[in-house]
Amino acid sequence: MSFTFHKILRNYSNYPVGFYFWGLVALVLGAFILSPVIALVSSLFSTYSQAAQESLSYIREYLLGSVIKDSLILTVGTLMGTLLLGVPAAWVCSRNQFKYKSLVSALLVLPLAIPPYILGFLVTDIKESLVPLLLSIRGQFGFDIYLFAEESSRYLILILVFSSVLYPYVFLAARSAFSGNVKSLEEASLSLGHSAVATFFKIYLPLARPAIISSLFLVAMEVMNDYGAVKHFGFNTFTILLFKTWFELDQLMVAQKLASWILIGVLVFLILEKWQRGRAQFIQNRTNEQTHVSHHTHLLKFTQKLNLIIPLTLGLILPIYLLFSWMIQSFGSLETGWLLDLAKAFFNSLLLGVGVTIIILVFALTILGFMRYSKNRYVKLYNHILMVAGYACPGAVMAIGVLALFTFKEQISWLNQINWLTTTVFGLVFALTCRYYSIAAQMLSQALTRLPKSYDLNAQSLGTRISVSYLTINLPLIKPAIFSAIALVFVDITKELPLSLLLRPFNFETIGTYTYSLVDQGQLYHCAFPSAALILLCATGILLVEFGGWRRATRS
Amino acid sequence: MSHILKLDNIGLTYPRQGQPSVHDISLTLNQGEIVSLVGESGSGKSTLLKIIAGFAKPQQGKLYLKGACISDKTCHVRPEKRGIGFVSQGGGLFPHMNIIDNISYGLKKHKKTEQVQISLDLLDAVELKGAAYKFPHELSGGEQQRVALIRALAPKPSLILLDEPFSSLDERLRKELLNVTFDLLRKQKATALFVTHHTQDALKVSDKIGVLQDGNCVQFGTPHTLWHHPNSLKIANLFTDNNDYSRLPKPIKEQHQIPDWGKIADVKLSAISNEQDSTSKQHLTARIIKKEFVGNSYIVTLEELQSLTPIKAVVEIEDLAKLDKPDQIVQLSLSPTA
Amino acid sequence: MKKFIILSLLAAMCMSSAQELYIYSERHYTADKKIFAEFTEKTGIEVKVIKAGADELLARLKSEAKAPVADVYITKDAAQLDRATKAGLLAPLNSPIIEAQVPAELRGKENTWTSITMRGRVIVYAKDRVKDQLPVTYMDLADEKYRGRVLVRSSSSAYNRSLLASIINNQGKQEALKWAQGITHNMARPPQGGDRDQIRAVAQGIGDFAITNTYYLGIMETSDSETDRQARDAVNIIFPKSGEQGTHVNVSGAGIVKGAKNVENARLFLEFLVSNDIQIKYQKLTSEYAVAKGVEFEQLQKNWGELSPDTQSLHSLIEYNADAVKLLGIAGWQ
Repeated sequence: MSFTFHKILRNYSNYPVGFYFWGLVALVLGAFILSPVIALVSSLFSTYSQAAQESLSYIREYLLGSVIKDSLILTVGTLMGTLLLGVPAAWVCSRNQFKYKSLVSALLVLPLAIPPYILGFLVTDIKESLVPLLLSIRGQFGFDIYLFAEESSRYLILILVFSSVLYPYVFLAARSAFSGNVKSLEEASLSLGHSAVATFFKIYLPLARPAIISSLFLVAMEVMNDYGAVKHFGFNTFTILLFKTWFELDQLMVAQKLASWILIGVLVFLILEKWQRGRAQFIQNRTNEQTHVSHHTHLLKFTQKLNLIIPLTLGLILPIYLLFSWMIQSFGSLETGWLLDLAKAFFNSLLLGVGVTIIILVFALTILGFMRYSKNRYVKLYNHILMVAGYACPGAVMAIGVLALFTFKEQISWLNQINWLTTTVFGLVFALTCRYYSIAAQMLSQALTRLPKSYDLNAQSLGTRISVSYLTINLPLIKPAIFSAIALVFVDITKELPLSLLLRPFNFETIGTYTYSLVDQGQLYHCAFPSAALILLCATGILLVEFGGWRRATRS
Repeated sequence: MSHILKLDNIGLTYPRQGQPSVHDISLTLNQGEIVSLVGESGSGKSTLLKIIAGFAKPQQGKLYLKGACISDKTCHVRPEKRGIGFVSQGGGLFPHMNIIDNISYGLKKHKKTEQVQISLDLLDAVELKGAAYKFPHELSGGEQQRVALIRALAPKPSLILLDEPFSSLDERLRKELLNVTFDLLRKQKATALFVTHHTQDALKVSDKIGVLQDGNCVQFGTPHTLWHHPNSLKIANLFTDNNDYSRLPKPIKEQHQIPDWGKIADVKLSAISNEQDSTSKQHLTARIIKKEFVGNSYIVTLEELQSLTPIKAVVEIEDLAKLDKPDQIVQLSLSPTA
Repeated sequence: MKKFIILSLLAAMCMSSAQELYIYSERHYTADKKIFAEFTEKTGIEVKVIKAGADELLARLKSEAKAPVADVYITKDAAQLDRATKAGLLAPLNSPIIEAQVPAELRGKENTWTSITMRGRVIVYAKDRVKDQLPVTYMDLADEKYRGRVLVRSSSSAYNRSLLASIINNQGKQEALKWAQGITHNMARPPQGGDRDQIRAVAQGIGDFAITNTYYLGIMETSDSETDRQARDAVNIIFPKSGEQGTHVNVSGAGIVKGAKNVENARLFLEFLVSNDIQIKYQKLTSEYAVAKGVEFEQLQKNWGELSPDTQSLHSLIEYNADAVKLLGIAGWQ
């Protein structure tokens, strides 16, 4: 039977049977990754109980308004903030040579190691110090103005917090775009009578547009995804709404519906942006061209220094200072056994990070490898969807998707015996894999497409199978991208909070959830030590990427 | 005739090896002239162009445009204010704008409708009217280069600089574009400075040619002068086509006549014989290493048997029949003049 | 002689075999650690605690119902214990000692749980600044004259939900909604932080009144932080009435998990917790009120004022909890 199957395949295709097996594996792996998203979207079609309908209308009437308002203000504000912090710094770094440039560049990326919620906690004292000012406003201008000022100041501080730790996304994308093959374009623009400033706005910035917009998308997702900082500041975003719906209203089904609406919204936005781009082309290549040796005035030099110092101060120097002062402050009153708890959480985060990263890597390399050699356009479409699915899913949404998936299992009695979700880390690992798969996949995919297919053709002519040439030739050549992908996924997983809070098994704390729980219980200053551990862990990952292979595997 | 561009002892030395330097360059361009700069890679041609365009600041010397000083110790006019057109290798078209927008980019002083009209007229001149609303990546390499040219010409600059604009194109396209480009430039009565390492192109289109070597301008003159009266063998070698040493000017050859057997010589074989002929004094026994076809004749590389001195000789087609065996050992006799 | 040796050997065997007790607790206080350690010292039973949020623990208990791992379930909210009882997760206490120590109204109606400590939800006000008429009931605080002067934590806090649930019980949904709307209208700022942050905010001058739990007052009074002590010092306390009833109270309580492996140890443990010595210890360590009959309040607690607890609404908290959540949302209480 298998012999004839084999024979049929041989007759009708150029590929050996093993190739189809590879394809099947890739298909199944991809299905795993898509399953929470599918479960979510399918919940849109199911009918709801009376209680669920009531909850839904209750949410729509009373909660949705403030959720939309807060989400919009925080997101738009942060987008502007990250642009202002990231783009000028990227411009300075990509256009000039100066002493310690690679060090400064690396430092500028380091704020990514600080999760937004940690900085949100750390600035509590700064928030408090504004109180006398606000009180004097109340004395002078009345209660309503005071309320407005109070709320505005909170928005501003939180936007600043987000911008300070998220601007590196924009910085990296802009730096990559500005370093591209642009020298001839700049010469052309200048010779045609446009000044350097005009050239920046008419040529460089528009050319960097796709890269910058992709990075802004990431920033927006991070803002939407945040749970700790937003809650601490007393705002309501979509993620908070999802938590509320599940925990306070006790309506998982409604949460699923909301989650799927959020997902669809994000996808629509992505499609809109691509459509708006049109036929125009943008910077594709990176070259190692000599940077311009141009004539700089003192004012210009000062402005350049400022462009670098401001992001560094907000994103690195200030948080580190606050962290240290809190560590000192809390040292006296730490509970016994805190070090053990911290070590446990640290270890958990490490294991989780490494484990999920390895799984994602294996999945991605398998799926991408098959896609590389397949000529089928449905395969390519499938791959495309896979790369977008997790990307567009905020953490809480993904958690709810996984939960939705597991409620299916309750209808299958034999599966119900094993309570996979709460007893083991399976749910958490699964959700993290689905969520962060696309980041690794996008980076690796970009690196693979840059590899010419000729290596494989040569290998084949020398008698090697595709799978072997893929493993032994292609993969070693994209090592920088692989390392970058590993480090980035690891950092993202370690920083993650809402998904971990929702799906972690019993008595299992990650560093993130441990830090959050300390603050939740009112031990604000005690979160300093675990925060420091988390930031160190992430910083190591980021530095590895920055010095190791980021330049050759840009994410945009 | 008034000069458009004047370089006075321009010099720029880069501290690191990365970029080629230029030293003490002086030359003049007159209205309507097309001047080429030729030289090997690293001779400083592009650097000089960048100085003229304003992208680099010279350390010595003065630069005059239409009589006004645009660069010296005290002043440095910025590139966007110089009104000097620039066409780079690859064209440098803005990929995010369509062709009309690209061409109109330098026409900001005109109204929108005028911009479009001027662009369309120029496109017509290079037979690309249909490409007006396309994007650069939708055009072929040659088409892109044509657009780059008319984009630079659109604002009617006082001077246009071309930095190896055809280097990225294949042979046939290069020849075609050379014609199109310089026909247009002549028609527009443009003043142009053309940098290339294809010396034949330079000979064909230029009014004057400047030769750069290691940052110095070693000769500046008309194509005729450079062809028939090169200042050195190196310059001569720049212009000879495919090692056609038969075309070498007499003085050079005279310079390099072999007074004795010890020197490397470029000689013409007068006779080849396989037999020993010990009567003539000027005889040489050598082994054939290599033969290269150059159209009318062959350049044969030989190695003298005893001293292993390498010799290059020009051989007419007819004589070649005698040189058909591999590693053949032949007797060469030299004629007093080649 | 022989009998003695056998008996003591048996006793030794009993003692040397590791006796254990598994606790799922919502409480995260250091005081608990001390008290649990004391229990271990006294009885030799090793105490293993897993701390988590209330809902997580409940979900966990549900999923383990067929083969329970925990022996004791401790929460900070009576409603939570009733929820566990409703789900059939708790077993009857069957302890005459507990019945004797703790008054009936502070034990579960189905005898499945007992309170361990109690606390009131009170109103504090700025000593130096408040010159006008003080609120007597919770409802008073919703009055227009207190506009812009009230500080209270977010609606997601179980303490506020239970408070509102008790008001629904005592005065009906309409009144409860009016109260929630009034408080929201009177807020000096949108809710931020926990109860202690509200007291600190009163001290800073952001608002004049705050709603808080009694034990926080004790914690701040004995705190290492100078700022906290000063903040506590800056306020006076009102024990408000809830309609016709007394001050809203809530309890931390415990129950024995149905089907627990170490039922005897669990019972011993609960009896230990409600014993007079330990009750006094709790009052000293965490400033929570004791629940045991006959245990006098500490001087520090007496100084706050007289507590007449509204214990009867304690048992309807579970019933009105969902409504409370909705009303809070309708009122716009963030």
